[in-house]
Amino acid sequence: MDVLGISCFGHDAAAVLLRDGVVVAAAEEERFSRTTHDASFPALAIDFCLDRAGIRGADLDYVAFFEKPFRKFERMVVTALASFPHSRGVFQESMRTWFTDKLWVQGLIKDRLGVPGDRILFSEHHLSHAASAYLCSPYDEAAILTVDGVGEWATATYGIGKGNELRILEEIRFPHSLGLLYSAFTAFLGFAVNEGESKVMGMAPFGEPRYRDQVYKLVQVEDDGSFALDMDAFAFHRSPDQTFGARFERLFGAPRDPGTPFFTDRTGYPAELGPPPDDVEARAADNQRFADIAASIQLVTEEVLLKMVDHLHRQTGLRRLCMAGGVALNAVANARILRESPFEELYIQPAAGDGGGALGAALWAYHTVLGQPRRVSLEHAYWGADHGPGDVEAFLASSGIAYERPRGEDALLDAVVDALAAGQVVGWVQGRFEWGPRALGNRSILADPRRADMRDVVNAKIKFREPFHPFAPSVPEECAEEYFELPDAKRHYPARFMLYVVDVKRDKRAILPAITHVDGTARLQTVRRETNPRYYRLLERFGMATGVPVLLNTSLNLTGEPIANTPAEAFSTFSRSGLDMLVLGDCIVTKPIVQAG
Amino acid sequence: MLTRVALMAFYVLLLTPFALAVRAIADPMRFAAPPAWLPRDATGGDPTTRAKRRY
Repeated sequence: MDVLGISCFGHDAAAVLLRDGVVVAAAEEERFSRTTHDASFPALAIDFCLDRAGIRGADLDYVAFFEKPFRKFERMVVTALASFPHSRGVFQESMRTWFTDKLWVQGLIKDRLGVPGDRILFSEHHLSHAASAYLCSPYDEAAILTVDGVGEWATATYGIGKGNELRILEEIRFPHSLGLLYSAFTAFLGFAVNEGESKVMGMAPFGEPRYRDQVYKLVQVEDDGSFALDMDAFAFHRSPDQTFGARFERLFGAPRDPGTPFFTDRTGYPAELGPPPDDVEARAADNQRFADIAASIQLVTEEVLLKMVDHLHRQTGLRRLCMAGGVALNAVANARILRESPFEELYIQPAAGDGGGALGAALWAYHTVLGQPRRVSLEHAYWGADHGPGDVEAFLASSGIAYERPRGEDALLDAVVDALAAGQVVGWVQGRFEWGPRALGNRSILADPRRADMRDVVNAKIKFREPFHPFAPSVPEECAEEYFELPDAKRHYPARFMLYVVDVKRDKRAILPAITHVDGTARLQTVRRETNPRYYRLLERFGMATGVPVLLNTSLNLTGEPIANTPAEAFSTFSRSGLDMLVLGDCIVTKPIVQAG
Repeated sequence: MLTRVALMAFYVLLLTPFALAVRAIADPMRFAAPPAWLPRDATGGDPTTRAKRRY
């Protein structure tokens, strides 16, 4: 039985195809359309899924959409009316988009895929999140927590999964939203909502939570983790482009200008910006305020989540927890939940945000609606498109690009290890691209984490990221405990998907300066031999050559672009950046780029 | 097309005046509500029927 899951019209549209309950393909639309966080109907991702399964749309047994469009529309209308006349702009905007597209998703699916209406199912937004977390976990029974910006009405839910049944018990409803609270601070700190949340997380360790009490003036929290926002401070419910209001600014001061360079007294003025301006001290103090605000909202978010999780544990008495929703991508909070909550194990799948709703909807349709038994858990994230040796060589030959093809994998890995150890930065493209927002060793930029200057090298030559946005390490799962504070690392699924920020061991911080953040932490990825053998062997060989089996791993893209999918996109990133080497499957391209003669 | 017109009419002619009237005497968005976990709305029908609904 083939079930297609679809999520779209929020952010990060995606499609997932299940065959008899097993994932065949899963991808976000942005990887194909090349539009970052593409929210449109995921026609290209659907085509990829169908191709991968060798079927046509009309062959699908069911299509599952990740939310109830009419309920969401109801929320938009009621919100707009409840905030009238301030909401005039958001009302007009939502009428335009909803009446042209979003309400008619059933017709869209019928037209595009040729699937009859009675084979199209509609999950609920948070039910899809819950299903995406629990139904692909390895657990037979678990508590479930979903927290994000907003779905139809719910912004957070908790429940229980048992066998193939899902039961959501209670929820918190819009406009009271932990995700939207965090996003308001994301916008205040000068970052794009739905994209810059990880930058807030990265900025937080540069500050102290001095504004914690002010944040709690915006959000009233009970011991059970339920909360209510002071809506006088926010604008997201009545404005299409504003998330916070005047009261918010009275509490925290003027918002950060997105173009402002970030430096504090502690970091010093960045040398690459030239001589410091006359008002350098005032600017450093202002940046410190922003870092303190970031630390405060991060701390409050963690405290609310811990209260929610404690309440969930008291309600269910279970020892395993599955989490989903955009807030479950907060890897610092996840690690605190693991360390400080009563739950012994966590499962979070790699696309925990809205893209993952496609996976959840498909799993919910197959297991919960159709009553089919669960068979496998999601062990890895490599469900996207791949491009075999023929495709790679055809691309290189047709583009006239000179390349080397080492004899066998050992020679290939040796060449890459030599380059990395020599301080080169390598683009690494292997197999199927990753499901979710993280590059996990198949569309990655790799570098030597032992070099203190490597963070600046990768930033200056390739990623152009803010200095407070740390780079992540990959490590074979057997070696993780030697370098990171994650006992029994093998059993932690979120660590496979870069969803925990943990301490780097004190005696290893000086060895791994390029991936150790200012507070001594790192967002590690544990790599398994069974699920990514070539990347595992690369780490192993790098360890043999240098004594440290750890690599700096960041996504293969330039700022503002989606992660590369095809060899042509990887080569485009390579040619427009300071990458020294590009590995495309078995082929190596180096700089200067030479035209094949 | 008929569905679209019917829905438009429903929202503009019925829901809008209704919501405005409700707002005058209540807090439909629970803007000022105290923090609370709320029970899920009761849903009728068997799972497959519910799954086919867009609402």
